[in-house]
Amino acid sequence: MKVSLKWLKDYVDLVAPAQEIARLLTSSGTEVGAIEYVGGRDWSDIYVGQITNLAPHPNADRLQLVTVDYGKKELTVVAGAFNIKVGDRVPLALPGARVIDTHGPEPREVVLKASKLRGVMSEGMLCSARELGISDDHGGILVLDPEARVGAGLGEVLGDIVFDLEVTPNRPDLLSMIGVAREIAALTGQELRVPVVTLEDGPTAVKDLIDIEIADPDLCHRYSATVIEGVRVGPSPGWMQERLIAAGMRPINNIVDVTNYVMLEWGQPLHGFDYDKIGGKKIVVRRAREGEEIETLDGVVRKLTSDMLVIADARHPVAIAGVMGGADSEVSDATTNVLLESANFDRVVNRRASRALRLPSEASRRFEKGLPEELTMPAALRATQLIHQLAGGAVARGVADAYPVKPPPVEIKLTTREVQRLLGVSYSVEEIERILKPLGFVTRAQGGDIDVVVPMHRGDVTLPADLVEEVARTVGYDAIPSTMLDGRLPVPSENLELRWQEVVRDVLVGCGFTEIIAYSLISRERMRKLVPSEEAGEKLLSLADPILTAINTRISVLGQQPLLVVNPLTSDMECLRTTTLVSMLETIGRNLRFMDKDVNLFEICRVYLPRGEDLPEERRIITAGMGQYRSGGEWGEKREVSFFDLKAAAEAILQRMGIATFSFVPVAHPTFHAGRTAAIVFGVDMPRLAREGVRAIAPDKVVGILGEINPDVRASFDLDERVYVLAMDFDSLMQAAVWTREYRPLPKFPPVEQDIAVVSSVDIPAELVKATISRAGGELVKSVDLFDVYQGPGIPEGKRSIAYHIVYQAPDRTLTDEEVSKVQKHIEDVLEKELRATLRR
Amino acid sequence: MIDRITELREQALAELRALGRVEEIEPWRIKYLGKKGAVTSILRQLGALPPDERRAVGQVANETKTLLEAQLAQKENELKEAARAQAMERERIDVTLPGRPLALGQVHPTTRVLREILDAFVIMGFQIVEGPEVEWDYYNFEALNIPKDHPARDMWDTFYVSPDGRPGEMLLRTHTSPNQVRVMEKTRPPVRVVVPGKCYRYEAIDPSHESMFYQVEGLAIGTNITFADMKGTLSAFARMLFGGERKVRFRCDYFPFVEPGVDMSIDCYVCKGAGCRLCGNTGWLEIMGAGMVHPKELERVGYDPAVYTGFAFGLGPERIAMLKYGIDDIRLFYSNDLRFLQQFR
Repeated sequence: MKVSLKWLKDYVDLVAPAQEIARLLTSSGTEVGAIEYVGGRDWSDIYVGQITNLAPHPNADRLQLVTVDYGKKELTVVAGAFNIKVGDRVPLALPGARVIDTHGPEPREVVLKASKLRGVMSEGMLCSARELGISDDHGGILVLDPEARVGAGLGEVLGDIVFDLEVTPNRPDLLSMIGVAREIAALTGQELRVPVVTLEDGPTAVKDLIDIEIADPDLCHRYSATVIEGVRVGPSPGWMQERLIAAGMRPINNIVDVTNYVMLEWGQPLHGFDYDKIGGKKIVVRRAREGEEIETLDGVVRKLTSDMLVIADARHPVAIAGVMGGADSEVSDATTNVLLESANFDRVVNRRASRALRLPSEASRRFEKGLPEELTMPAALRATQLIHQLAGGAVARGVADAYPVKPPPVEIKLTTREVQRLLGVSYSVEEIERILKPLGFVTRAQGGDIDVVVPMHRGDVTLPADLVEEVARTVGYDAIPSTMLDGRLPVPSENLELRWQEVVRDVLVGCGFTEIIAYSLISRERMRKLVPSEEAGEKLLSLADPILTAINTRISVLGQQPLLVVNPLTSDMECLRTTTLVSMLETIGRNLRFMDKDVNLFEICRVYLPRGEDLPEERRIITAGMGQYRSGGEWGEKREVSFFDLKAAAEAILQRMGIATFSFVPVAHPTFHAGRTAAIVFGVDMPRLAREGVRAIAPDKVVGILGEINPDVRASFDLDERVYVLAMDFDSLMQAAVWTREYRPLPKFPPVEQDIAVVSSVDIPAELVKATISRAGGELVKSVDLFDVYQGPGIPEGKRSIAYHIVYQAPDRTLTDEEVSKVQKHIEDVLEKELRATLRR
Repeated sequence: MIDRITELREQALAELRALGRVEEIEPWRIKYLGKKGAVTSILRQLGALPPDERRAVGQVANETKTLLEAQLAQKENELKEAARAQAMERERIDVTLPGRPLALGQVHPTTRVLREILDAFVIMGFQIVEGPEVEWDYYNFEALNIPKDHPARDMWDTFYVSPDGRPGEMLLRTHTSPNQVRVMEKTRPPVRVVVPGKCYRYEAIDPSHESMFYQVEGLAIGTNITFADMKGTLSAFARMLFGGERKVRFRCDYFPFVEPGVDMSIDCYVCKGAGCRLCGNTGWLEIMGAGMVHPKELERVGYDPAVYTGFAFGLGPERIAMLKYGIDDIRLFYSNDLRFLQQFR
């Protein structure tokens, strides 16, 4: 809402500077978004002065000494212009004022200082239009209107100050000059002045001219109308046009301008019809008939639906209620008789219609917020008076007023105790009354209670809490003390999810990964890039392999219909992601454009898995990715990373979460490299896995996938180097996580260390070899650590050698060589028997 | 005899002084102090001297031996020290060369700020909970006093979602406020929670608008919680995050689910309130919306508004991060450019 202060002064005296009024409004809930100085600029410290004496400058012929009175006192200024005489009223800038310095090559704003000019102190400056920033006219000092009040701020006389108010949706009353004036009057302790309307009744009675019927009183709460006969349509006067323009509206003609003017003044939208176009001299306010049409003022023929409200004459709709008038009944130059509508429409029906027709307007902006029924009458009278005043004619006697149900005023009982209970500071009955009355509330005190009647313009106030806000915002929130909370605390309960999430974050950061946060919105097209071909996609979806199924439905979810955005911003953000892999690959790709190494990223986020008509499951996924290279040991060196670098990060997470029993099981997934991908599985029985294959794995134990990305998938993401990705289901990890740790005493007896190189088929996973050694070695084997893997000369084709460092230790004695040899012999036998493995000697 | 010893001593000391390397020490020791060394020989000859002369000569000879041994030890130390110093000098490095590359990770700047925000409230007794990002219209709007067709809905441009793309009741939450209702439905007072999470708005993306962003919601409900407590709590928070010297401003604002409603600002730390570009010449930086929980919202979840009061607030970590770190474009947060992310180590 644009509020011209010049206009506002019709209703309230502005006793404080504009900046201070803006501060008061902002602090009490109506933010002044911008202060616009119409006619140029900030004219603080520039006043209307009257010249009382002129004298020659003692040291300069081209200067003169001017004595100026600006109400507070007389000053002497040095002036270089001679177009002035005693008695003239002129703009007097005092030190501190901002004026335009026109002497340099480019005009620039300067802050005026008192200074000596050729030996005489000038206590201010008389300004030209150019120095005031109004125009380029530098022909002399700007001589003001002789009526201009001496001592007034220049802004009051020249130009205007316009506040751009950000009116909150609960305050439609502030979409009016009178509403804003009432607010300012209350905040500054001034009186509100409401225009007084007196009408000369013409010969005809309005009820003989128009008949009003409200067919749907639930949608139209009141319809008031007047008729002005014999008007002359023409342009409205300059002052009215100026005010409309200041408020951001376009002048049309005197009738339309009056309806807009009064809407701005009172907040009640009005509409003027050409009375002679109203068929049957009858107004019917009813629901539109399905498919009924009307040509609106903008020349568009619009099809209506039965949930829209129309104003109809005896036959046709002549307006869409509170949205837009019809073209047929529009006031034109030929109009002589005007029917003025001042009505109250239901806010919901109005909002729906203006949205459905995409016709937002100043009227519907007000109607949709809910206006008081009581407002139609003062607005109708005021507009009728102005039309009569500006367009002549005769006013038909009375107001045609259909008002089916007059709502009772809202009454609220407020207690000082309630104010204290909510605010934490107490106010007396008198203080509260002093605050509420100027805002229009009627109060009656009874002991500590106050019965409050809410004025019609404050439909937002229905509860004691609303009145408490009135009190608080008027005294200013800054006047209320600050205290710390006391009282009972809730029973503490730790948020384990967040705790583990932070643990995982810290582990990954420690491993050199940078956290990313990617958009949840994505497109199906982008997700499809994760499968290299249709067959691969079908294979994925055929769900034959229980491990693959588990991964695909829980961790890197693909092929599932995502939740769709009904109103997407762009087509590549049309749905909620079911997989995190796309964002990871895209983000790696973007960063590889300017970094040739150390692109190590992770994300902990949710994917959204639809559950029919219910809200989706929001699953938390940990995703980490690495580009092909990382920094080497030396400066500038880069070294190639492998599957095992990312695996180390996965292991670090699992270990830090206290999860001891997990395995990496080879798996085929179309997004990943066929030979370099593992499912991460809890509690795998390795020998059973070796015997029975994936059937040995329970799908609910599959918690993640780790691998190199399939070269074709990489290509579809424009990645021309190898990329490794890890995805884990956070919730599964969290359920298995163990926070506590158990201390084991440090060994008291020395260990015996032995190395063993096992030659076995390349098909036997290293993890199985290690598990076999541990199991065969029994309790004495403290650790089994791999230190070498070898394939090549000396080792038969199809086999490899894996070397382990084994530590034997007993808690209660020093082991003898014989004991160790016996155990090692047993290990060898078991390896031979179970894995057909031999020792490399 | 004594003269010979003196002469020998002077000669030995002179030779010792001339030694320059640790390896020369041993030959010198053998020459003078070894089993067949000059001083040892003299001592051995003492027995052949007459008793009275033997005592005098013996004393001089022993003193000489002691002296030479002491000088030897000192010289040896000197030379060893010099050798060590030399050896280290040979290993001198240029300490101004850069550190060996070590891939450093870091959390996202949003996480960094979220941690700060949550920590501040946790130490004031708030607990952290989370809620769904895909919400029902009911929780996002209706339970917060924003019925359908309410003009306040314009304050939140909303993405609606559904399994088949047709409009329905499911949406992407536009704020974390639905969790006020969810938390109250599940618990009884006292309540003190903060709820971080992603939110979404149907908004064209530009330097100051994002379609996805985080919010932190806060809620405190009890039998004696006042507006003054809200001011105190939120001021304490602002000073924890932005420094103890910050001024805090509370002004009236409208959110349908609070009454009275509040907008909280801190004084601009660039211009100290004088007005500058950062604060849009107002001297103030808005950092959150808040208010006393609306009685109707309390009623709806079965909390008696005559017994319980409380306050709620919501703030945006990105905005806080932008203010704290001087970031001028919100789009940088979720485009995940490492050159941006790695500035927040």
